[in-house]
Amino acid sequence: MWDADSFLDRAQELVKKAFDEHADYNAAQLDRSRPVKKGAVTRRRLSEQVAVKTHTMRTSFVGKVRDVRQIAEAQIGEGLADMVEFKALVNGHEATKKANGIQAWQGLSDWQLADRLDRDRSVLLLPGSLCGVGSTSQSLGVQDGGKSRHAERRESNVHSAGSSRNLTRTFTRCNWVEVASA
Amino acid sequence: MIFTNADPRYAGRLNDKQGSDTIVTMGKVREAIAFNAELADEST
Repeated sequence: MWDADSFLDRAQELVKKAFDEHADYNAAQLDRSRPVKKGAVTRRRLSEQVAVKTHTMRTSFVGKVRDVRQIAEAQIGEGLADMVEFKALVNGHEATKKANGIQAWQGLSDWQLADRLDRDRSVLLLPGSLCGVGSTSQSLGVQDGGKSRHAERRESNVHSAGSSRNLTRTFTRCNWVEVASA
Repeated sequence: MIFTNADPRYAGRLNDKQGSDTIVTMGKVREAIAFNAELADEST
């Protein structure tokens, strides 16, 4: 199952490339926005390279971690140490397949779509404009009476669409984003 | 449909930092689906 050597080699190359590109990007940004003394720029470049936040690479490089394994006493440099290897899906790979899958939902009827989202527990990114960010027009506040009344009115609107089932009891996860859709 | 936030790090509004459920009509759900498909496309 594991093609460890080739996978690791490729992963290391890609990680190195990502780090280099990130460092170049930071350097270019600094050169453009902060025309300061040469020595200061050099020091900042070094600190930027050292301070790469690896957890943010998850959003720009690693799409999904597929597997992990621990290797006891692996040879690292001149010493022995435990090592953890991750098998990851690089961002962008298979994205077209995912996009096509999401797009295929458009062909479903409302009920089929609701069932599908509920069954798969799908996670959708909702633009701020759909979530009513910045306004309370679509909010459902549990503790705020005014919002709750508003939400109840919205529920009745949903029911009046001719449904025989209570769609509003169908819970599906989603992310809210603060920014409006670009 | 009622949508609940999947990740509290991304939930919240100016007047509701914790976020809460939000009701989205099926029309808006379809808009969200198109939006997500577009996002997935752009990542290729």
